Order: sequence, then structure tokens, then C-alpha cells
Amino acid sequence: MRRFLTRIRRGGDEGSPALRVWTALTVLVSVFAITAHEDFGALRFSIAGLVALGFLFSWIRRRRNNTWVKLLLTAGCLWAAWVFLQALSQDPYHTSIPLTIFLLWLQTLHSFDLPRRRDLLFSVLTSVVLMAVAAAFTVDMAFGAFFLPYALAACVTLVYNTAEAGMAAAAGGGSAASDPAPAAPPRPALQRGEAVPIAAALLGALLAVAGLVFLFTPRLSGLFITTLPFTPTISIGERLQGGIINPAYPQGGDGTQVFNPNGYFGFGPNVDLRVRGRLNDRVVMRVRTTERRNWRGLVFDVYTAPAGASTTTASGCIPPRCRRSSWYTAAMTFTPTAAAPGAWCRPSTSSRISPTSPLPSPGPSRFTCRETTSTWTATPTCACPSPSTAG
Amino acid sequence: MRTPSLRPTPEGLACLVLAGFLFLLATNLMAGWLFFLVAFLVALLLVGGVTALRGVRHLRVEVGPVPPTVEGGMVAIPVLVHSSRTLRFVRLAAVVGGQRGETFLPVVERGTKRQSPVRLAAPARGVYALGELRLISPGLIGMFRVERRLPARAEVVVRPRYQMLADLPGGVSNNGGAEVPQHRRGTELFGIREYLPGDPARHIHWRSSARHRRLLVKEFEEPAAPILALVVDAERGQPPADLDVAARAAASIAWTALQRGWQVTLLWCGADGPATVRGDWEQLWDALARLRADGPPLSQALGRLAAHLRETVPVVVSSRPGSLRLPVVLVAPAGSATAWEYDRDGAVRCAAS
Repeated sequence: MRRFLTRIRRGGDEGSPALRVWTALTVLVSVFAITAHEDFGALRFSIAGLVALGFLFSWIRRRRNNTWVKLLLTAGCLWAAWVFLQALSQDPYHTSIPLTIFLLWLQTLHSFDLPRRRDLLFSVLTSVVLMAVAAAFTVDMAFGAFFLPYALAACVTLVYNTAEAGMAAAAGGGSAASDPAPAAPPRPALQRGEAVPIAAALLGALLAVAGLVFLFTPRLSGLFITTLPFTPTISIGERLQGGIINPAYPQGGDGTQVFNPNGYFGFGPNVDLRVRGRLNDRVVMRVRTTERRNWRGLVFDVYTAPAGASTTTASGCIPPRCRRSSWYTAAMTFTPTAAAPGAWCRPSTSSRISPTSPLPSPGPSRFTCRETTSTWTATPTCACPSPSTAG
Repeated sequence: MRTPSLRPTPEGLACLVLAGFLFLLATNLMAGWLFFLVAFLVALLLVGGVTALRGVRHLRVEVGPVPPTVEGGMVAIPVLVHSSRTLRFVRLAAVVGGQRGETFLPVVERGTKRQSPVRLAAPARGVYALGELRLISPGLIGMFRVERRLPARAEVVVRPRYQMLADLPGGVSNNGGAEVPQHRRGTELFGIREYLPGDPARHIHWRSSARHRRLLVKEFEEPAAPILALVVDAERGQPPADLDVAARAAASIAWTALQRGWQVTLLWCGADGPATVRGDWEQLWDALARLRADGPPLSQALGRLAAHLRETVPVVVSSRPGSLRLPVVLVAPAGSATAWEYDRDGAVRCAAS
């Protein structure tokens, strides 16, 4: 107990202000990196502000009894878990967004209880996870604008942490003695601003080594682990009717559907456009492939108002000459199988295109057809990107 | 120098586990930035390992003589560090008697010598040999901990703690001679000299003064300080902790006696036969620090020490007095039915009081 109190009085292993500032910067950069994704954009400034406030709060109260703070934080964690479980129950097949929000809130709450240096390290560890999630979400090079500041802040944090761990170990060795404390007062492990040049030099070496490691990292595309090694328990009971039940397509009724977020859409002969939400031209998915493979897609070329459906299924492919790891553009050419004067087919919001024109960009294969009774034949063609646009 | 050992720190282990997990994730998602993050974590481990290994090379360490210390105090091992390259975050550790201490050098400039004591809590009373120093390097980012053991020769002496006693053991003041006050004057007549201002009137030798017609006073000889023979029972087989407590009591008696004008002789009978230390406090204290339980039983030891006990006031300190019946003042642990007893802190008091 005496050793503990002595360390507390001396400032012990609570982490210096510099270490706390750099740890806070590390966490903040990771928060900004992940909230750059549009799904978390609404949380950007609230989370960042709370994290900064939490670091300040935990610094002020680092030597006080924080029982009530821990109780409040526990309640906050339970609330965040409850929100996460609610989101999970609503959409059990898309867990990444609520899980990331849950992680963001846990990181925020943890920022309010950082009395010791060890707690700061936990924050850094969580920030790495946040950066990993941000890296998984990102689809362009803009992530580099977050990664470089993050790497620098993390390096400075690690340098400070290493120095202060050494100081703490040296101070802990003789503190159990009853002799008076050493004559010289504990000096800082690093002078002000000394860690940044060390970390900057270190960062250069780290990026060089990381570049080499990155180049030689195997991309084992066959090593997919996409499901758990067991089957989740599914309650069958009365639902076992020998067919696929899609909650987006309730049986019976007058056929009028509303948007159902729990619905899922697989291959089928028709699709009800109304249950898929509001149609627009926003790009919802890009596909990148690492090798030549056959891909199957659905094209609905007959629109039957008011439900709106189409019938033709077509398959697409990646041209053999396309480079690996590059974006490609899949295009469809529509040709009416029967003479239909004045028939045309166009993207839902674009201007009219001729039946032989390829689609300008990858996007949803939704078309508005003037002639709804004609049968259209969809011919998939694939286009390689030009060298300047190849990603 | 011995081969250094390389071990990951908790931070390094976390980094390693995280890199492995993220690699699986990146493989599943085929996300380039995630692969780069994995590469960065691997780079942290590689650079951390290299900087940690570099920290234990190019360094020479010399250990100076270790000043003696007291039980419960602090051992300060003076270490001189010399590096041929600029090194950062160097730690030096030493283990003495199960106690571990470290010193931390934020930076050791190239070509300079730095002295930094390794401080550790003093172990139990005794003499310890420092066989090696441990040079520890966490590198610049603390991912690994490299430790190299360097040979170091030094002796660490931990002396027993003591305290000033209110009374010396009863036999000293009652039987072996009255306890001598610190400013006691002599009683033997040394000669006669002329009166000096300030001499007490009762010392005036009236007969000689009348004969010589001037005031003459008697001059007394200072008596030789009585000798306190402090015998410590070093019987083999007794627990080390018991001997430590007896040494504390002996140190308290010796210190108090010296402060009151006694001469103190420390005696014990060890494996090499009777041993005697007579001198100043430092010598006695050091001898008590080196005392080991390797001697014969107390009755035999006193028989072999009899020649040294003549014309002294013997006081025996024993942790296991047993049924000893000898004409000595026996000081034993509290509750052992002896007239004088000592406690674990080295305080000695009369059991009757």
C-alpha cells in the first residue's frame, strides 16, 4: 500500500500530460478516419468532442475517487449495448454499422476513465481497431490523409509510453524502502518536444518497412472465412413450409407492398420495385475482383405497372483481357425481340439512350421502358477500363 | 556478455495478435488499406525488435563499491555506463537478496560516461554478492524487451537496524559494576597541581596548600572505560530471521553502551572458532551484518569464549536461550522467561518492568 501511495504521490504511472495529449490525438484521428464514412458522419463531431472532453475530464480526476464516474460509465456502456442489440435485432444480416457505432461509443465512454498509463494504452489499442474498420470501409486513397497523421501520433505516443514505462520501473524498485526518497526529484523521461523528432525519424523507417511488408504480403484470396464454423440456431417450428419465405413478400393480400428493411432479394423471376425503397441513381456497390471469374447478374427488362417487374435473366463476365484488381464496367445492350414502334429503354433518371448504347457507368440495372408489353433481350457486354481510369 | 533474450512486451503481443486478426480480415475483405495497416503493425514489431536489440549493444557497464546499508533502507549500487553509440531508454536492473531495483537512462550519449545508481530496497541483514547486472532495452517503441546479463562483482552489506535503549541490561548496572555515567570523573588520585579558576573547592588539598602557601588542588585519574563483552549466540540451525532479530538487539545494546562511554567487544563462536571484534561502532556494526548461524550451541560457545570474558561485563544475546544456567546477563526474545528481553525491532527492556 505504501508503495502504491508513494507512486500516486509522485505522479507514479499515471502518464504524463504529453502522453495524454498524444494519446488523445491518436484516438481523435481514428475517430475522424472512421466518421469520414458517410454512415457515421452524423457522429463525427459529437464523438470527437466527447472524446476530447473525456480525456480532459480523466486528467482532472485521475487521482480522485471515481466510483460515481465508473457507475455512470457502466450505465453508458449498457445503454450502448442495448442500442447495438436493438439495431442487430432489426437487421441481423448487416452488423458492421451498428457494431462500429457500438465501438465508437465504447471508446468515447472509456475516454472518461483514464487514470493510469495502462488505460491510455487500451485507448490506443482501440484506436487501431477503429482505424482497421475505417480501412475496411474506405474505397479510395483519401484514407491516407488520416493514416499518416495517425501513424505519427501513434509513434509519438509509443515513444512517450516507452520512456515513461522505464521511469516507472526505476521509481518502483526502491520505493518500498523506508529511507527518504532519492535526493534528486524524478526528472521527466523526455524533454519537451524531444519525442516528436524521434517519432518522425521512426515513422520514416516504419513506413519504409511497412511498404516492403505490404509488397510481399500474400493476398490469399482463397482463404475466405466468411461464416462462422457453426450454424446459428434458427427457429423453424411452424415456419417450415418447404419453401423460401421472404418477409418482403408476404403471402396473400392485394399485392400492394411497402418498403421492408428486413427483406432480402436473391435471384428470382420478378422483383417488386416498391419494396426496395426509393429508386435513384446513387452508386450502391462497386465490385472489384482479383481474378477472372464468372459473375451472374439479374436484368429485368419487362416493366409491368404498377408492380413493376421484368423477366430476362442474363449473365455477365469479366473479359479475359482485363487486368486483375481493377474496376470494370459491365454494360448491357437491350434489343427488343419484336418490332415495337417507338419502344425505348433508358435508365430511370437519365436521358434517352439508343438501344445499342452501353450504360455509361456501373450502377443499378433499372430502366424505365415505354413499351411494357414487349419482350427485351439483354445482351451482357463487358468493357475494360481505360488505362487512365484503371484502379 | 551473454546472449540477449528477446521477449515481446504486452504491447508487442497485442500488436502481434491484432496484426494476425486484421490479416484474416483483410484477406476476407481484400481491402488494400487494411493490408497496409497490417503491414504497418508488422513494421512496428520489426522496427521495435531491431531498436531493442540495438539498445543492448555498444554499452559497457562498471559497478563501483556499494556503500553498506541498513535493514529497511535502500541499497544504491553505483553503475558507470559508457556507450560507443547514442542509445535511448536504457534500463539497468539488479537483484540482491530477492529484491529487484532498476535505474533508467533516457539517453546515453555517444562516447560519454554516465553514472546512475541502481536503487533497490535493502533485503534482510547479511552480506550479498552481486553477480550480474541486467541490461534491459525496450527499444524506442516498447514492442520487445531485450535483456542481456552483464557480469558484475560487488558486495552488498546490509547491517541490522538498531535503536537507542533507555537502559542497558540489568546485570551491567547491578552486578558487573554500576552503570557508568557518561561524564563520570575518576576516583584514583593522580597528583596535585595549582588551583585554576573554576576548580571545585572540595578538590583543594588543604594540607599541601598550607605547606606551599598557595592553593593546590587534587587531580584525579580518569578510569579506564569498562568493557562490555557482547556475546551473540550463532548456533547453527536457528532460523535466519531469529538471528537477524538477535543481531538487532545486539546492535542496540552496543550502540547504547558506546554512547554511554563503555568499550564494547563483540564475540561469537562460529564455524571457524571464537571470533572477536573490538573497535568503533562501524566495525561492530559491520561484524553484526556478517554474522552467520554456523556455530556450536551457546553453552559450548561460552566455554570457548571464557578467556575473552575475563575482566569484562558479559551480556549474552541469544534467540534460543533454552535452559542455560550461567552467570551472565542473558537477553532473549520476548516471552522466553528471561530477565531481559528484546523484540523484533531490536528494543531491549527488562521483562519485570
